[in-house]
Amino acid sequence: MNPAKLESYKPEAVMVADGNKADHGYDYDLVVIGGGSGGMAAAKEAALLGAKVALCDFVKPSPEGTTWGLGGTCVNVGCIPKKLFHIGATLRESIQADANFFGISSVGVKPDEMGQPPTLKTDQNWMAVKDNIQNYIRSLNFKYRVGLREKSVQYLNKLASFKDNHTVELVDKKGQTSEITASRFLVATGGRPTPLDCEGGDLAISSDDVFFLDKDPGKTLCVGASYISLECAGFLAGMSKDVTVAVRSILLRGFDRECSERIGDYMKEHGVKFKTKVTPSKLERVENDRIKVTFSDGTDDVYDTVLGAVGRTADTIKLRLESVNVDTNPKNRKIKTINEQSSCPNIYAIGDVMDGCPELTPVAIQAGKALARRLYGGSKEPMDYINICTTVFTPIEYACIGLSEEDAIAKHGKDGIEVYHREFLPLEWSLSRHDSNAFAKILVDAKSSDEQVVGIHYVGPNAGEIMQGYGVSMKNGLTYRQLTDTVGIHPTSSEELVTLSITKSSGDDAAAGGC
Amino acid sequence: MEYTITGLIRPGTMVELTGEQINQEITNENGLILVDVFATWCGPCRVIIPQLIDVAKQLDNKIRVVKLDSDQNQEWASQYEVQGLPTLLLIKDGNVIDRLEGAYMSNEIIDFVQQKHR
Repeated sequence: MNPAKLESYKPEAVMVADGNKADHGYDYDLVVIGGGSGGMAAAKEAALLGAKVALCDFVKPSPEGTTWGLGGTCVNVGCIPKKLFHIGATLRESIQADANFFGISSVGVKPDEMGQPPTLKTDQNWMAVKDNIQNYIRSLNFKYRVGLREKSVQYLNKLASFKDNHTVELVDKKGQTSEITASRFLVATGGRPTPLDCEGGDLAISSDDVFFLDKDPGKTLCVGASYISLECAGFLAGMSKDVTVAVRSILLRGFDRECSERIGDYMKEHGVKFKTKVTPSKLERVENDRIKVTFSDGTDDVYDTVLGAVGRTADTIKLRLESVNVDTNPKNRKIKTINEQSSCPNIYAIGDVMDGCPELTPVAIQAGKALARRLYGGSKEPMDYINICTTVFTPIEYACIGLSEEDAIAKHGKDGIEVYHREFLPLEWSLSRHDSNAFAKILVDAKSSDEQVVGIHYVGPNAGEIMQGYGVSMKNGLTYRQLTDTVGIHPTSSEELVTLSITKSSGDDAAAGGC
Repeated sequence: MEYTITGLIRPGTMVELTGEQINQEITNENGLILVDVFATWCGPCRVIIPQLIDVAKQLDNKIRVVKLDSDQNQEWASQYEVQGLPTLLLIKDGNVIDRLEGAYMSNEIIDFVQQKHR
């Protein structure tokens, strides 16, 4: 059924009464625990709607001792530094791969006998990149502190834990304790990297540390095949480090297999080494401050840095949730919710700490705002977790929305899905990079009367920028006809998506051809 | 009237103080203080430093010129509603009588100070 035809039906979020009343007598209407993407958005929205709000944010140092300011994972040790490092690495790589083809050389360098400038060789200074990115992040920390104050949210740089369902105990960095009470609480504490559990695993750093390293990481082993591991491996390799990725089974579990494999192939072609079907069994310190890693297949190697990116665990361990009967999922410690409300009616949860929430900043922000509007603005609108676009910022970027091919087949059956696909060489790579191709694919519901699109996938440059607009149309019931009726912008990579015509079932060649 | 309560400021020079130390200086009546709220990661904050040193030299014992690290003194900066960096707060008799945001040359800063205090 085409969702666009159901516009008269608006789902409502049914919430359990949480006992909140105007003259509750507590210190605050709402105390938000966690000053990340979700927590801050919810706090500011609630304050805007007239609630008296306090936000408690406190960063427990990583095992390496790394700590940071207000803003949560995204701003400090996630999206922002990751994307900036990715941009820096891509910039260096493209200068080296493409500049001379566009006639660019260093001043005074003579072209060869064919009139072609030589490859523009580059160095990349780790400390300069790291310092400039860190300074930018600290300006964001400052901006967020000012932002909370401007919206009249009380910012408390203290670690909060529950004493009872209306009281939290606070500890500041000097160890001084205090208490505040509230009618309602919102837990938005997110997650932290899961440590390596092998012998010597504590010698590894995590994504909490990699963006702050005060010396060049050198030869690096990235353990894990999640997007965190691949994105970090990607930018480190782009900055000419010797990088190896240790993969236990498959790349990017949960994502489309074909696209994930293309990412792996591209990274291999661009110098990243992959050790497959292995896990590290032992890490030990050796001379020159290096780390010797022994793998489960008996091989070993020595690295300057080992980055563990094997998953993230919800940061609920110090909250004392047992004292307030908030149920968590035993597998991942995330808080179980219905419409962001936990098993204790006046305690809510959003973002990475919430079971079932996609671990993405914009999802946490939107869920936080929607919840604040339900709690203080009289809204009944639930958060829509369907059809959320996302992008993996590996050296070749990958953006997708909707179902992977595997999930589409599982849901609709092999005959229920038509795949339109095409491999192509982006124009920006046409002068230089003949060996690397981009890829576009859409999945449609073959049994729907108008070939409704159920998944869109793009592997290639600028994936995030390309996919955003398609997200809007997916939320409004995009069909194959609507997509291909749209006139493409030429010459771009995005136009490949609106001109897809070759189906997988036809067996026709979808590979990038000549002119 | 003493020039400085804490004894930490010498006429003709600029020093860095904590929020608490500045609060002690502010209780001195009839005294002018110029507080430069800065951060180590802020480019314009670095640009303004030699200008402020020049202001201190030129105005000598007519004013106390101090700087405050906003990251290390978050509550003080928040209390004084600092929104952008650098922010120059002109304090007289315990009250902020004017403020200036951004990097300026020493003569512009001197004009700013003298405009409000004749």
